[in-house]
Amino acid sequence: MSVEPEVPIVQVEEVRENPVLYKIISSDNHVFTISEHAVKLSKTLWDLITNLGLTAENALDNPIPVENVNGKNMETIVQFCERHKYDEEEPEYTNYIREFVLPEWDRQLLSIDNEELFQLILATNYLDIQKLMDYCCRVIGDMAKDKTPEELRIIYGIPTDAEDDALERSASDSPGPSG
Amino acid sequence: MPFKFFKFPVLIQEKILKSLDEVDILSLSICSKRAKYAAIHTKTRAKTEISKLWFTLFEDKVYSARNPFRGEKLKPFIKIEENSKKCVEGKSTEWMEKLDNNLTKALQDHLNQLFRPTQPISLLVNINTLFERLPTLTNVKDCGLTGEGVLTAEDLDRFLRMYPNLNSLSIGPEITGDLTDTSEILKVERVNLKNSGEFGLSFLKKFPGKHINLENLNITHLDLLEMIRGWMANEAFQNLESIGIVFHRDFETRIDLLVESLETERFDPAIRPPPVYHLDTKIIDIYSKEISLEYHECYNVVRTSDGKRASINFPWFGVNFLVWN
Repeated sequence: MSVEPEVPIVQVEEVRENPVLYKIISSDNHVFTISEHAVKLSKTLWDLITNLGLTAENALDNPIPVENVNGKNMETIVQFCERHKYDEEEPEYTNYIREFVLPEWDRQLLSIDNEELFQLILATNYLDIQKLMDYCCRVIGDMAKDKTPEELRIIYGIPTDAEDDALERSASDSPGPSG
Repeated sequence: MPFKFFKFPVLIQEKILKSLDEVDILSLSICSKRAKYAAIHTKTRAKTEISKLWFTLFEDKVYSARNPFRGEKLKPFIKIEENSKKCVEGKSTEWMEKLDNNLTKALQDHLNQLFRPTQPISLLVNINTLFERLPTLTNVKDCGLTGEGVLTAEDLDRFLRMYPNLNSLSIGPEITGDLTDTSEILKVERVNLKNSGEFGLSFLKKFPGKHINLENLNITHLDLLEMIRGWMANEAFQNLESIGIVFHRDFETRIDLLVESLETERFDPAIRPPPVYHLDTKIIDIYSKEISLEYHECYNVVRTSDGKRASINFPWFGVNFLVWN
């Protein structure tokens, strides 16, 4: 099956300044090219690259398959990583996610529907991209701003106590693996 | 399509919760038992930063803030309505229903569970709602009373019996009525009266506590003299650490006559007052400050019984009486 990059990401100046590039194949067989600085933002990918022993010479000949991330999400992720690849290292926002200002560019990038954002967060979690995760969670957190509990329940899809109880009952009533 | 918050892995749920402020966390926590559990068990930013809870009861709302005196915008988190069942129908939860009649201890318990504050609670109450909807909170150590109109000494006593053992008290409205030897306010060691009136002067004369700040006070130089001499003779103010007075703008206190009559200590270069007095009254709405005590601007007096010294200085608006540490 031939695989062609649907969304070429590589910028000319990027190639000039940083010749080390890697190829990533999404779960739906889209190929993406990403620079070394950018791919380092993903701990999962960088560990994989290191473990596979990919170098500047053989990187492009050995595309990395990422089974858990589809092309749409990978496109967003690659865009994000390329955008932030030269950012100074920031402290992890362990407790202070509300403190940073979400840049407008990133807010635009993350202006996607809830289902897409949900999937993007799962992909980001899998690829372990701390900064993107913080930004995504911040976007979700901002949705809760000044909302009543009932509005929050709808936005976050939180079941009522009765619904939770019913779910628990049906789970306990269903036969187990041996039943 | 809504998110399915609980479909996220726990670590992501926690990250999302960390991006909420305390009011949003409170809102989330009353969505369901599961949401409450998630909120309690996440080391949220709010939880790590809120060492102290402030309750502000004003008109028909309860506000929360990390510190309302630092210019932080107050956020109402509960609106109490006369007919609250109807008004909160859309957001009804068991917990909200409990607030129908009044703000109860359930609110405090809930917030304590969520934020685990390490310091006692501060309570700001509008006197117009003083007894109608006064929350029964525990571990309240600092109170501020605000609002228009006057506060009777009887109502103040009633309030202070509900909230005994206060560390500090600040009262905005003028107090009317008599101060007696059994008045509850005499049990508070740190007091600020913003509209002192006659009550304030009587209170000053009997004050047994550590720090007292009186604003808009009508006080004559003779009253001041009596007060200072009382301290020097160890007949009054045995526990005193500071007195701050802001004169009433329509009343002239003759500082010159006071200074003439005062038995101040002769200047001794070996016994100097601290050049800068760090005053931290720990009164609910008064910040600590540095007061310059340059020799030419202050007068020092000695308490004969134990040799303790105090400095008196006169900023243009009033008097500071500061006992040396």
